[in-house]
Amino acid sequence: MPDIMLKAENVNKDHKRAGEIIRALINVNLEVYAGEVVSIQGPTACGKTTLLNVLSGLDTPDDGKVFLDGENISRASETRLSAIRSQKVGFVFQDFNLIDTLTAIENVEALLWPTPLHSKDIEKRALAALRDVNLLDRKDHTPRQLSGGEKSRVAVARAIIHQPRVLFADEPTGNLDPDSGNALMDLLVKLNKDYKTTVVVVTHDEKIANKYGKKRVRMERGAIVSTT
Amino acid sequence: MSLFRLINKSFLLALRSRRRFWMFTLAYALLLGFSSVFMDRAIAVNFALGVDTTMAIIAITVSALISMLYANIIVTYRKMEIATLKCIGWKNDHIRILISGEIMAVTLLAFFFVVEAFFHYTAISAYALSADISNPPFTDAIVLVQFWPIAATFGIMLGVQIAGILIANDKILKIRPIQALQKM
Repeated sequence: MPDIMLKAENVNKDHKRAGEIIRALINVNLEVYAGEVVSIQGPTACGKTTLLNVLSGLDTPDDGKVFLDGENISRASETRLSAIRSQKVGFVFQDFNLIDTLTAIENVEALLWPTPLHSKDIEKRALAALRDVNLLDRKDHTPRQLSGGEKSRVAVARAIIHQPRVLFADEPTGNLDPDSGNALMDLLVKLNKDYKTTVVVVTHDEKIANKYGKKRVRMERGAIVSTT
Repeated sequence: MSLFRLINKSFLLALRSRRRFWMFTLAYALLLGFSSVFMDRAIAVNFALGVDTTMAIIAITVSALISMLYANIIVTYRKMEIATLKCIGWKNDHIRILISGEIMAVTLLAFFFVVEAFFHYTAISAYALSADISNPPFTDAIVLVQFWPIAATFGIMLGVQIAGILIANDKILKIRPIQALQKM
């Protein structure tokens, strides 16, 4: 039996908007094993992104516990959470969030700039990550010179440069055409196979969730309604 | 190692901001130049309250205000980038170094521009005056400002950057990593 990589225990989270309290997560329980590809799917505003935020340590639950690689992160300090994010977690954002003034390789390297690693080692790792996503030939291009699909691959390279235990992707195919979207998901699945990285993908797209999620979590109105 | 790398990258980011960077560098260079001239004259009158001393104080105050404006603009412009960097594991300290470096880069480059401009002024004046006058050059006529008032003004200007850096720090702390996930 593989280790439990992520665990949510009775997690509740409320959002306050315009004086109204919205229950974003209601008594959520979830276990994700190491090396799994999990899709979290559901309609808009059902709490998918909130769950991803809580699982990845970007947000804290109001109630309940979250464990990442065995460590309770639900009440961890911001400094500890930063350390966890830089060592164990990779993120792929919907808009990819690349820095426009940096080249593709610099965007990938940026994650390791604050570390004590030697610049040559950082460059080697960035080149290896770009090779993994098949984008070495575009390493000196800025995001403006890259297509949407290429940007997504740079974002994935940045997310894997530190060889994270878990890779979180928030609607990664949301801004891509179907072919580029499928290519990106194929890449995430390949990385999962090659490096045994646990992948958690949030998507509203049922086709993507069914095709790529080995474990499929369906959410509605802040609660998990099915796990298959 | 990482401190030098972050400072180096902050200069890189500043230079690549192009229009914003050059606009503020020019503004700082002008202020530094004017401040140096007035500082030079204020020193000659032992900082007696008069036009020169007042102008030097005004120029330094304006540079402090510009520093705050610049810090504000950088952090606002880089809000999503800062949130993303926090999201991928950068600590507040790392981002502070990056933004402070960007603020300092403008002042440093402006200083080099001003020193360079005064050197050229001296060279041109010496050439022009030597061409007309066979006597040794008149120091007061060819040297607009001595070096050390420029260095002193530069030191004061670096000091007033603290105002900008403090504002930047305050804003950096308010940016949460979760903001990187907000849809644009």
